[in-house]
Amino acid sequence: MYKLFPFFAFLACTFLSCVGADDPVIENEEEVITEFIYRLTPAAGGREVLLVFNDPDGDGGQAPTIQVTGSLTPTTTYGGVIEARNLSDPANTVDIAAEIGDEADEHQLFYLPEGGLDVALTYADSDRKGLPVGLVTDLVTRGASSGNLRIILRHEPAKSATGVTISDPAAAGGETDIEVSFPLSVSN
Amino acid sequence: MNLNGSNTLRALALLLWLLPRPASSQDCTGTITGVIMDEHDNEALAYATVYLVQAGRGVEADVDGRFSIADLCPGPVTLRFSHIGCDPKEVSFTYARDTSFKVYLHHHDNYTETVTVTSSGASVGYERRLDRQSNRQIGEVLEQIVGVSSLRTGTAAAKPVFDGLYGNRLSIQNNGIAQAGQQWGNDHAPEIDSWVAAYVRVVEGVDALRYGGSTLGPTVLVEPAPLTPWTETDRRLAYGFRSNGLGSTLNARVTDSAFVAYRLSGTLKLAGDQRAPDYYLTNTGHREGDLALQLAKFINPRLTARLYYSLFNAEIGVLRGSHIGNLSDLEEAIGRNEPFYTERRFSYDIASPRQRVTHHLVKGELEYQARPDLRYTLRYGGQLDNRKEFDVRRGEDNRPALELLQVSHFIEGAYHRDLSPDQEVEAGVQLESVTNDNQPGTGVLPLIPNYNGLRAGGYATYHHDAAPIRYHFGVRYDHQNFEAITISRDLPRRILRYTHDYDALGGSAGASVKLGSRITTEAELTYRERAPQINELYSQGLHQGVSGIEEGDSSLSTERSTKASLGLHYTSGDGQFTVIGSAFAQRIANFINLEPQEDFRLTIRGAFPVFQYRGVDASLLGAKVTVLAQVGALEIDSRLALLRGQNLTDDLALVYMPPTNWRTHLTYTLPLEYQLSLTSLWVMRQGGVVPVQDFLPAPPGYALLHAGVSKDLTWGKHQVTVLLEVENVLNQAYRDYLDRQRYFADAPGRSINFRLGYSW
Repeated sequence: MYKLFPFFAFLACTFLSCVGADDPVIENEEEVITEFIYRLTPAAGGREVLLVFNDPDGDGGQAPTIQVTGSLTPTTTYGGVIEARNLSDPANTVDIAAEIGDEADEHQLFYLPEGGLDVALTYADSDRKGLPVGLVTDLVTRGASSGNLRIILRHEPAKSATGVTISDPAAAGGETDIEVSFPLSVSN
Repeated sequence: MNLNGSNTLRALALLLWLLPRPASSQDCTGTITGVIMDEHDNEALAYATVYLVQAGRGVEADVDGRFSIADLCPGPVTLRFSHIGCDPKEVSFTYARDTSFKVYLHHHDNYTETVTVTSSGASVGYERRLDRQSNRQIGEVLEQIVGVSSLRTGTAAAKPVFDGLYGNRLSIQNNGIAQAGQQWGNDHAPEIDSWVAAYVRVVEGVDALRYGGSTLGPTVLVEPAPLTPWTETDRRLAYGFRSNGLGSTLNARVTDSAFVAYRLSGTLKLAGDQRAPDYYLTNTGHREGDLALQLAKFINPRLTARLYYSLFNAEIGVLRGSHIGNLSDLEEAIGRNEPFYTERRFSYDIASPRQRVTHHLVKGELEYQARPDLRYTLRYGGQLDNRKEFDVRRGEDNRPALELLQVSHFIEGAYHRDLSPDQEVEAGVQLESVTNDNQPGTGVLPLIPNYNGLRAGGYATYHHDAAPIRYHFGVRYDHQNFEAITISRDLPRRILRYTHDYDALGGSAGASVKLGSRITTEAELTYRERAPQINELYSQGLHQGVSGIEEGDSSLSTERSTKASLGLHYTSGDGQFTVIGSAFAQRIANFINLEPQEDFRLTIRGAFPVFQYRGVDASLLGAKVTVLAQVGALEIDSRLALLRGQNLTDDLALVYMPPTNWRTHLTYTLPLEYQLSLTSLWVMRQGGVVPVQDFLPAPPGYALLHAGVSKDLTWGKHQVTVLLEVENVLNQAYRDYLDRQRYFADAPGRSINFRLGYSW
């Protein structure tokens, strides 16, 4: 048995030398969305309103910020456009909205006015099958009101499921890739 | 004892030496004598029971394992051998003359092992009983041990829970080597092929001190049948079909001796979408290919070399409708009649979400029997575990969202010494290293950081085995070092290294007292410490399955557990009725508990609850009862387990504690050797958990019924086994509290299974 001890010692040495890993590769988080903007432009011209979500370091780290530039005008039609970007790697910024557009049939955006916000939304774009996507929308304000506008992006929803509307994604299912709630008011 | 000539009863792994003597014919004055040995180490088993079925009487072996049955009449004789902690064995032959035997029983370690897989089914050997379940996951096979339940992720993963402990608190030994995979993940099943396992059991207390791995006491042992100098040639081929999921399992195993004794096993599995009673569980297919090679070389009577290699390879689909993005998705998924994405048609396709796992294990062992009473063992275990998890994501589907490569090495030197026939000492030193690396290219910051772990440990146990009072005690010490290499979550991203050192002490003592010939009582007290593991220290990120952000706490300290257990074992004089009862109380200081925090965290996908690990005081209380009985041709095996887990700091129930469950297995042997079996499983509702602890209240209790019929056909060395069984006969729709997919879907419904086995 004692003859085995050098062997044992040899094993132990090999063993310890295995330890000691290199630095991990810091992943380029391609799917992260650091900037999300709903840009509302009055159809008849006028001042734009921007709903902006900003989270430069992605999930975790610093908390994201939500900003809205001003308020909407009553009884006005706005053209709405979604912008989404991944700016985490300044050398390689990614236009997420364009990626969504490329896979339009697998994505759908929903707009939910909540807490008394009196606006109506309609889709102004569609995918190859003629089903809505929601990167481009029309928003019509009525009287003065205020509340929240919740914007949801679903991946692989059932677009044709019964009960699905621009403001009701419940029956659509799918995974939520974006869900942001913006405080918004309609006033003179 | 006279051991001349040889005659072997192979299926029972039993050696029988017949001694020709002048037969005392026609009068009942014959004698059978013998000795009962432990199959593992060829040592005598003291105080085993031998029951002569025809005459309805029994005897007890002495301290050296010897027994003698007198006044035998010529004719057929059936002897049933049983011993605490052993698989019972039955031997039949025609008695003509005085006979002397040597019987090898598969003994499960030492005497006070509080849990074992005792089966009343002497008519079907334990190993063959397990063979029949090779179409199941190892976790489901383990459920038949009293006190074991499964923590499930739908059909994708089942991992064992024993006495309320699982994951980092319950280590799994794969053929004597601590399974090194990604045990922290609740949706990660043990990477072990159930066909390779001949024996599965749980040990704790003193008997568990020798095993490494992260545990708070108990250890699950999964072992192939040992190769011994008396291992015989055996070839097996089996095909199994399951109607639910249209699953096929092909198993093959060859055991033989050439230059070395060897056993080669292989498994192929293919299954498609399973079906709940009312709908398909879309994307729950499973593909698996496993291989195992076992070698033993008996170099000389003193030196034995063993080598073992196993490969586990699986691709596992995860229910499509269980993949959600945030809390509102979860709320929408809950309460639907059928899960989102349910397809009308069956399919073998596996799409994302899915897991792909490859696990290699190499074990080398050198056993040196220096003297009859002294043995040294040198053991090496190397493992490579590659786990890929694919999520539903934008862009290409073929890129994992998580890929981990873990390489581990383990070496152990062990010493075993018999101080006297009744006393033995065992000691060992162990060294284990783990390197766990996230593989680049996932496009996601890892949930678990890269880390290196180094553990050095040692143990010593003493067993005193002289009836009626037997006792044993032991200690264990481990030093655990971790180096975590994390990536900062704020900008700019930086690599941050942290080092942690933990000491973990363990000690256990137990005694067993034999009160007369039928009753044995036992008591054991165990103290164990467990170092926090990497997920508890550093996990960081979103757990999609549970819709929460999980955060480790690097300031956690070791868990400290004290467990006291009491047991009672009664066997009737004829060996046909056994009751095993046990109860335990376990108190855990600094129990590392994953708890929801008050604040939600805002992300682009909405607000998520944050879960953090925190040390609390916890208590576990439990009781188990096993009844084994033989009533004529009917065998009864009934097991009841109760458990209460409480977080004492917050006065809340612990989550994921198995509710009370009761499993009864009836086997009835019909004429012509047809065997009927009926299994019922009752699982009560987990009533302890309050609404704030879960998204949904615990599901109601349920009862399941399984039935089967089997028949063995034997001619010469050839044996064909045909088995037909129906799982969930009533096609009961149910959801199990321990299933993490119970928010989304029912458990699988009825399955009609067919199995054809051939051995020669």
